[in-house]
Amino acid sequence: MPMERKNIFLVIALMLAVIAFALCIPFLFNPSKNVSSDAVTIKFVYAFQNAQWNSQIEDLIERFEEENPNIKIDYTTHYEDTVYENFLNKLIARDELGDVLQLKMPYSYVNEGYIAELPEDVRTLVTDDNLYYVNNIPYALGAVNTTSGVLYNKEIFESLGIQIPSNYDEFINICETLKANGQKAIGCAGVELWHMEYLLNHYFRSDVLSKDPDWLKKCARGECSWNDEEIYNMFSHMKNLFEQGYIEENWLSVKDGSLPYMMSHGDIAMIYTGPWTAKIVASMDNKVETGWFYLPDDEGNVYIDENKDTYFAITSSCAEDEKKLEAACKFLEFIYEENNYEELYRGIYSFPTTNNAKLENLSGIEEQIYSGFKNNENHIYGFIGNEDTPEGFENDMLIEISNMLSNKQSIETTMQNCEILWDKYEAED
Amino acid sequence: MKKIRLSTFRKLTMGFLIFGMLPLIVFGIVFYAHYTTKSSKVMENNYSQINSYFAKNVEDLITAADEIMAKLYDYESEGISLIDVLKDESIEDHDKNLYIGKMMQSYAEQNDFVSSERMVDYKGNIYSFYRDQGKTLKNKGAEEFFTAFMPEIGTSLTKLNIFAATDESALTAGTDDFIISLFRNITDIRSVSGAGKDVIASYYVDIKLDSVKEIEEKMNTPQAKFFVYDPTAGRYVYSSDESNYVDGNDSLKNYINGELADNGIIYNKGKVVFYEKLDNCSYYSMLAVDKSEVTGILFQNQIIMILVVSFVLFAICILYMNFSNSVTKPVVALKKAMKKLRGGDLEVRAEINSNDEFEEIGEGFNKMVDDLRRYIAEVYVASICRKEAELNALKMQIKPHYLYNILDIIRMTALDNNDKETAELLESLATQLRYVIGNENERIMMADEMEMLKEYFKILKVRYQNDITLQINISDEISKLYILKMLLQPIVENAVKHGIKNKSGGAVALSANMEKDKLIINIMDNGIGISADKINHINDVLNVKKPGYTDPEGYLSVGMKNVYDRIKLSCGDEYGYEIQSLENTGTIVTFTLPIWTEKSAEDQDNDS
Repeated sequence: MPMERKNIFLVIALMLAVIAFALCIPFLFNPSKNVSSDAVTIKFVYAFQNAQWNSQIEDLIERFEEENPNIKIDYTTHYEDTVYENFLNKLIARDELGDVLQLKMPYSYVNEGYIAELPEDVRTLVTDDNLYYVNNIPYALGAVNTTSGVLYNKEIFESLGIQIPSNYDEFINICETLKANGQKAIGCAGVELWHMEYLLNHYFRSDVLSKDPDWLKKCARGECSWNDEEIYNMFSHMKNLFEQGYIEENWLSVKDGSLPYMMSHGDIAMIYTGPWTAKIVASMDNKVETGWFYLPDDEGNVYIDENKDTYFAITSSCAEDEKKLEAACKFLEFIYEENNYEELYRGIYSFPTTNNAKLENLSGIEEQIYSGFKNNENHIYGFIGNEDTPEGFENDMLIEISNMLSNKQSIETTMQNCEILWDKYEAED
Repeated sequence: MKKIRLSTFRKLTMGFLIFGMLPLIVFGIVFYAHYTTKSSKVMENNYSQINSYFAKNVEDLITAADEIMAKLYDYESEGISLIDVLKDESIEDHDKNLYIGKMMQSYAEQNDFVSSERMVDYKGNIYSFYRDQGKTLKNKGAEEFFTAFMPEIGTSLTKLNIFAATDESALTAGTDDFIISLFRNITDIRSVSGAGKDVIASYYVDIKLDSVKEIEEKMNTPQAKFFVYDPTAGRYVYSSDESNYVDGNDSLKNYINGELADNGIIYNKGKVVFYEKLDNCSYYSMLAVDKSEVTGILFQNQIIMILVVSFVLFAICILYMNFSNSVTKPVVALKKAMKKLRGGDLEVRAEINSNDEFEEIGEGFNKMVDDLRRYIAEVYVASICRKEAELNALKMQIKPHYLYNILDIIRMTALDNNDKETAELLESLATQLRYVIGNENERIMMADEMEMLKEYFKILKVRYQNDITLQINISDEISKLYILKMLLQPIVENAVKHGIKNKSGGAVALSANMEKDKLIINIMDNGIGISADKINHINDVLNVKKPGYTDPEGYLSVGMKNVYDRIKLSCGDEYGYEIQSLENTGTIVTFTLPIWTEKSAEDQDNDS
């Protein structure tokens, strides 16, 4: 065989040998593989106060996850009809509290060590007066501030020539007029205990706290009692609405989520509620024009409920995990970013807690809510269920109120029971 | 000559390697690597998914069991919650038993996998429910682990705890089953502080181990073993291998080294272990399988692929070598033939039988060589031969008219001296000279050639004292044909000189006839003949193609060779003459000539 051909054959044989070796390589190595996910998952627990709030939060989470693909928000909504605080306690009992919480009153959680001090970075997300301090240390960020008042069906009012009341008697007259015209005056959601807080706290503020803003503190010190006259007045005002038939008669079986629908269909003329209900009514298929007013007292004084009862906090267990803490802070910063935050508070007609928040291009009803809130100087912050209230008292008290309003017990019995409950929970606290 | 740097074979091979083999090999390796990686991943993914599915089902089972303990906080019967019942001192034990029993039963009935539930309150009262009514809790008291209030487990009061698979008979009578126990403390959730600290009961939910076995069976992978395992504690909640929880063997320990991530694959000691961490606990779902199960099929596929690729490459190489042979061989053959042709070998032939263009080129080359050879023979060699023939015949060339005049003077002188014989000889000579010198034509009419022979023979007769005869026997038709000039004379001369000169009564006979398209002329003599060896020698000399070649032995005369060559060159290879002879008998020279019925074109030009 000529030399040239011999050489070529050798080259080809060598190439084949190299190929055979290369093909055998995968047999020689089987490396183990271990994968830890780079993604951080944080659990966010919030109260399903209303469909609008829930919808805003879910949108926020979705957008956050899109922008931060390495952070997953495992969010738990509280759909049950029990009180949110009970739900949180259950999570504590199962070590499932999570990482970022919505809280009404952070005090107990701070005391028990479940909430961590706010990191420096996030403290500036809200104004100083919207930080929740315990012993001068900030533990929670004010999410939104809200108020409560009367949402009414304008069309019904106009059809009956009803004007906004300037005092409480006029309000009662409105209820009479409505009743006389076969219109159910006020809607109330008796299925959910917490809904009773609206009316309860309105009368508590206008009948009790307006005269003594420290009443709860004093009660804790034993300086006043649930058997006092102002409590009687408060309960009387409430019961009167029910006894006179101004409240929709099936209220015990009505859920809070049904009230906007009932208003949009003209089943009820008024709801004592938060401003977000107006937003929900506006989103109903059956469009109806609504109005808003703050309920005055007998003397015509309007006491604005300023509800600083929605906070965001970071749990202690989250703070112990560096990655989770970083993710939690990122999430909070995202919530308070200008556009995101505006969507959040405007979505439920609430008031911002940040420095640079805008309230522009307001709709008619928004204007009524905000202007009434801003222009009235009589703001009352206290409420049953704040840090001056012993834990557990509010829930049981609402049961007593519900029994009273459904005529299962008298006002006096209710007052006595409240006193007993107060003592009991004060002792336990 | 310019040196060849890159032969055709090398160019072809380089092209084949660079543009054929190399891309094929590179592509093959890339594809193979990709295929191997993908296949390996697919196999791994398959088992990972099976393990993942198993993990999910186990998680769902655990979650469902844990959910029972979550629902305890929401349970109410006649408006009374569990916490109220446990905390209310006024409720009788009997009523508590009924309440809790009813509660436990309701949850067990909603969940088929629940084998039993146990609860121990803060006072040490033990409550239990068994789905199988044949089973009973052994009355061992609250100090026993599985009926302990707030057992010492970990550092947290509120976490879910999952115990390793346990022989139920350790705490229950009437059973030989194995169970998985989940445990939580129940706290007083009526306050924030109570929710985290105030334990009012410890609750156990027992899951039948068979429930997990059913999940494993649904996987339908008998070649794999499944585990629910805590690698830190070496505990098995579940194992396909019963010895892990019956005898306490920790078989997985052999394969797992170091800390585990959230999920992964471990190759170790011929086993592959797929693992995935279960949510919210320290346990992992694990699937262990022999490595051959994971890579076996892959290995076979790889072997097949290697064999196929190797075979294909080898076949391609063989085919290529054959192809290159078929291409380069004719080229080499042509090259060799060209080289020989350059060396003057006009007999060279390029033998190419490739049935392709190269064969056409080879045929073209051969025809070119034939044409070249013929052209050279006709134009040059024939010309040389003719000149040689003319030269031989004109060795004593003198100006014809002067020669004729001298001969005529000599003839007249002979006649004056009454020498008739001399005068006739001179006349014959003059006639021959006129024939040879005076006629420039290549072809001559047969009749003229016969006349010339007769005149020549007259001279020979004188020389040999009239003892020889010449007989000519040709037809009129043949006498009008043309043959090459001076073709027969050398033969006749040879016949006389070597054949009949020493024999008395010698005769030369000439006859001619036409056979098909050839003219056959026979010149016979009855001379002494030629031996066979000499005949062979003469034929060899005749076949030497070199013009002007002379017989070194001297057997064949220059004239005879000249005639033979002239016939070959002028008429073609199929013409010529052959010699047959018998010693002491005679010799025949047989001419095979073309039938020419007219002069050549050149002769016609000469005439005009």
